[in-house]
Amino acid sequence: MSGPNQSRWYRLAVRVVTRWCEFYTRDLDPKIAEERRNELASDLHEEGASATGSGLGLGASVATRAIAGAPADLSWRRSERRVADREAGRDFAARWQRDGAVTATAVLGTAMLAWGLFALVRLGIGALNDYGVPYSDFLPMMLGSVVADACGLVLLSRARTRSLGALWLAAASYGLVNTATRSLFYTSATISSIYYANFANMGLADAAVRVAVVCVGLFFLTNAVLWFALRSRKQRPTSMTTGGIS
Amino acid sequence: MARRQTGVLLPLELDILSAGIDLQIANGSFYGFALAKTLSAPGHALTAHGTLYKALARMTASGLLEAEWEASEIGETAGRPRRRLYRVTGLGAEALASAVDDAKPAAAAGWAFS
Repeated sequence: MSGPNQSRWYRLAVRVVTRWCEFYTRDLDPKIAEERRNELASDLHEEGASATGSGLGLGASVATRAIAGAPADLSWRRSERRVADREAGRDFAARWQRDGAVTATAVLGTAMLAWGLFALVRLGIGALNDYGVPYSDFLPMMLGSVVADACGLVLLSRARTRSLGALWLAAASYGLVNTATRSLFYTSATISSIYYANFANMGLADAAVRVAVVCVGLFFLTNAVLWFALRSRKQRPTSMTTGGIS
Repeated sequence: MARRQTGVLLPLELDILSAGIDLQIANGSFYGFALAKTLSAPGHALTAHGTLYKALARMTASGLLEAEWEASEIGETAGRPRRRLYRVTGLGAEALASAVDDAKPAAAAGWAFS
């Protein structure tokens, strides 16, 4: 007999929710993490066993419950880590600030990537409609910056290469903030109307783009330096010990 | 976001205590999914995993509930993962009664104005 809990939708939802649980319980106290995983496994099983509707409906219910509860999962994780840090005498505030900086960097890097891709799509549309855009002025820089941004985000995801990732994002920021935005002056009716409406707007738009380039670039560079310094400080005791032995 | 006052129960916590006592009377204890089903109105979505288990963890830590894992053999015999069984403590029952008492004057005032 095949009930809704035998459907591939339910099994897929269970797999995804279990992975999500493994993600947000990672590096917590092993006992607490295991309890949450076991409790969730029991809940997922019970929901499957008691379901009477379609497999798709059951899968959607499991997924909806996980998505709606995701903020609470993360908030629970944060409070568990805070407790663990307090017990271990670690400076939670300093670590939270560092983690917050990683999130902000990742969000800004992703937003830049989205902006660059959007500008590239508009360039493509412009090429199809023969807008007369000077492509050689924009295309190489934008393509290179999109690739650099994507590489930066990948490097950012690992603590060991985080500083390097921020440097790549800093390098990509010029092409994605400056060049991509300027290409939109040619390919976006909205942006070109703002830019060319009057002389004062042109000056203001130019200044705004320059300020944005400097701010974004400085943000990434600062984080790159900060993470490099933090990493060096962490490694210093090891190298000193090695130095003493050799 | 405003911080909650210490000692003040959230609506979800009051619902958990109330539904938990009902389930406890019927079955001796209750577990997460049974509670989620009891809390949700028929035809409505079940309480989200994160919301439910975060609240249960918090209430257990504050002594409103007590929790223990079901013996592994019971789960194995029934062919399912073992459940985490909860019970409303005396403190939890008192907190619920007190919250219900506090709500009575407000409800009475509501009637007086209507």
